[in-house]
Amino acid sequence: MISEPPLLEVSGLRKWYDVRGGVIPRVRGHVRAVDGVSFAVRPREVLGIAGESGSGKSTVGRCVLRLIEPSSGEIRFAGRDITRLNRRELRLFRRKAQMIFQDPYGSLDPKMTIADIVAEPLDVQGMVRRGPERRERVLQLLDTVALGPEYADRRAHELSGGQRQRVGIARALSVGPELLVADEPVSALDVSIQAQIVNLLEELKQRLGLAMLFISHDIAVMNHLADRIATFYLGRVMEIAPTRQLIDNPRHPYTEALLSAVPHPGLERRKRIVLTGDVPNPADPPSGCVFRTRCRYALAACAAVRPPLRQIGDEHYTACIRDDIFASQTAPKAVAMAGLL
Amino acid sequence: MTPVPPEPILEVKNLSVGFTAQGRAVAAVKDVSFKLHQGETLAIVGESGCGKSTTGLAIMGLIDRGPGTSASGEINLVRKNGARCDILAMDDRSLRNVRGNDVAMIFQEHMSALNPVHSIGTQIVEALRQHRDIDARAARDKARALLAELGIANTNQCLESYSHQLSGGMRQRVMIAIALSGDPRILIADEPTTALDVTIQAQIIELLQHIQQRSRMSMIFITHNLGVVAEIAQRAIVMYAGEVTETLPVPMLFGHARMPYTRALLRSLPRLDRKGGTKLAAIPGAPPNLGSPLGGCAFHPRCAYALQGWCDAEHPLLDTVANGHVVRCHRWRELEAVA
Repeated sequence: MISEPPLLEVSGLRKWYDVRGGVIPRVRGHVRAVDGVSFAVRPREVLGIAGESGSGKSTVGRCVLRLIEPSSGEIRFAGRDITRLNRRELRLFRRKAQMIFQDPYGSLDPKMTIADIVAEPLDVQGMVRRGPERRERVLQLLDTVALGPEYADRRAHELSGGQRQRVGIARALSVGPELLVADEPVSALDVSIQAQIVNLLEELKQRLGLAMLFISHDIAVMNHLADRIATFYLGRVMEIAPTRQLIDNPRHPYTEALLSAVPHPGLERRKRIVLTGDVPNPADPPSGCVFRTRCRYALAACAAVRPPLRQIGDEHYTACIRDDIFASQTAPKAVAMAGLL
Repeated sequence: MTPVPPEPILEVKNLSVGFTAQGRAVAAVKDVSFKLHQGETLAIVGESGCGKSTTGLAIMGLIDRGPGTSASGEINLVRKNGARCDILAMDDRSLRNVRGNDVAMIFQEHMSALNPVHSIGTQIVEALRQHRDIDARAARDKARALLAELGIANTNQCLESYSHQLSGGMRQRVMIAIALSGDPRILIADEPTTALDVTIQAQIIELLQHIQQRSRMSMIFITHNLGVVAEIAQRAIVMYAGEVTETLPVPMLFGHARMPYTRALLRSLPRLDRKGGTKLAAIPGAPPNLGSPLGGCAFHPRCAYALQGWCDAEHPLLDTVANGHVVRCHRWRELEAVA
């Protein structure tokens, strides 16, 4: 698997937004939403992007599909740099990569029937002609996401949140993509429905061999779906590792804190690492390591240089200079509770 | 468990709340009863539309009693001065005295709950002066002290700022400061951490626990997140379709819940301590439409244990499993052994 060339390769991706101000407006600074991010996604692999608000995780997702233009950096899809595609090429690229959105209410046009919503990418791409063939394809797609044919002629408001999210997934699948960017696809759903959608995505990944960029603030959801996880903080990657590895043996203080903040539905109460303060202003990030202002292990050296992402194990990368802190900790934090439920 | 104090400070008896929406009667809360003791944290757990927030609003006396709304039952409160009152029977004037002084509430929407055109200081001072007989200067000092206690470092700057200038975590702290300004005996927290990032959520939960330990305040914590329940509450009420389906001590929740809905909800939670790639035990279907109630148990269409002719026909009553543990299920005795 390691030798397989990546489907998606992002290197040095930056998205800076200008901050203008003053009587004669001019650029006074930049909000560094994404600041030098590199990662790769293999075919049929799910990469989880975990982070909090302002970490740049959604911006990365949108840059990857060129829904917004990156400031600099390369995004290679199947070897081709998509930041250089022209309009026509971009449209063809969108047959290969599609998006699922967080808001199942805002992302479906209330005036369109479900059939038209699902078939819209096919219409745009000119991949199907109106008529029985198109109808057949729509019903097939609805079936893929476990919605019966009776939904085809309904409209979004007649559907529940979970059903709408299924429609959003069917729409994304319509053009037969190889990569799905799912931006918080289950965050707006109730727990019982969330599990249905997570299972559906898992099943689609297996059955259709999809690669996915699964963007979420919820690292527990990611545990069920992602092969690898990257933690993001203030527009930068803090750590990337295979899912189990990252959860059992985090090697970056931010990952450690993020994991310990997840409320734990069990009997034992763990010692929680409570981060003090808020995320710094991305227009004025701290020097060196951006996490150092909230890090309990920070040293003077952490302010000096920006720590690069470096390899510390098989497929395990961290952007922390302190190798000493996690070296002694090998005890697994999560205690299996399976017997109790 | 701590011994149960003789008298609860809040007792909700047979609370029902109904609305008329688009010409249809919707029963949002049906026959809900529970007690709350001093210093206790009670969690009300459930998914969207289960009636948990409406229950909270009713206790605050915030259910609008205009046409199209009906509320029945009793909400008996023991006030700070020892007087008893029924919130549902009170007029607006006397309710105003109860709100903030005896019962206060914090909301999920920390952005819309604060006034964008007044400074934070003005809003906290307003709340303080509403509840206490103090002058503006003393109120400002008190506001500063409150914010400091809630872990805000630069209190002066915070008092001068407006809500849009603060982060979500800061805004929620300000909301808590306003709620605590009347020194209430009961705090109703309606999804106070849902809109926050996990690391900020952890800060706020820690803070609420700290306040509670210090002041012996009681808390009703309304949430859909069972993980948060485990961290903060002693007792949990699980609601579904406007009804209480199970009430139990939180330590019993994990492993000893009897209601199939409670168990299914727990199993559907994504967890960190499971091997990746394991399927989540999703609950099929969706919560029912409250406008067209079903016969029998409200959960039966989604329940793996529902029996035809019983669960879909006869509405189950709450049954006592053990002291402090009640469940609304026809089959809980048989299901005891099912893990």
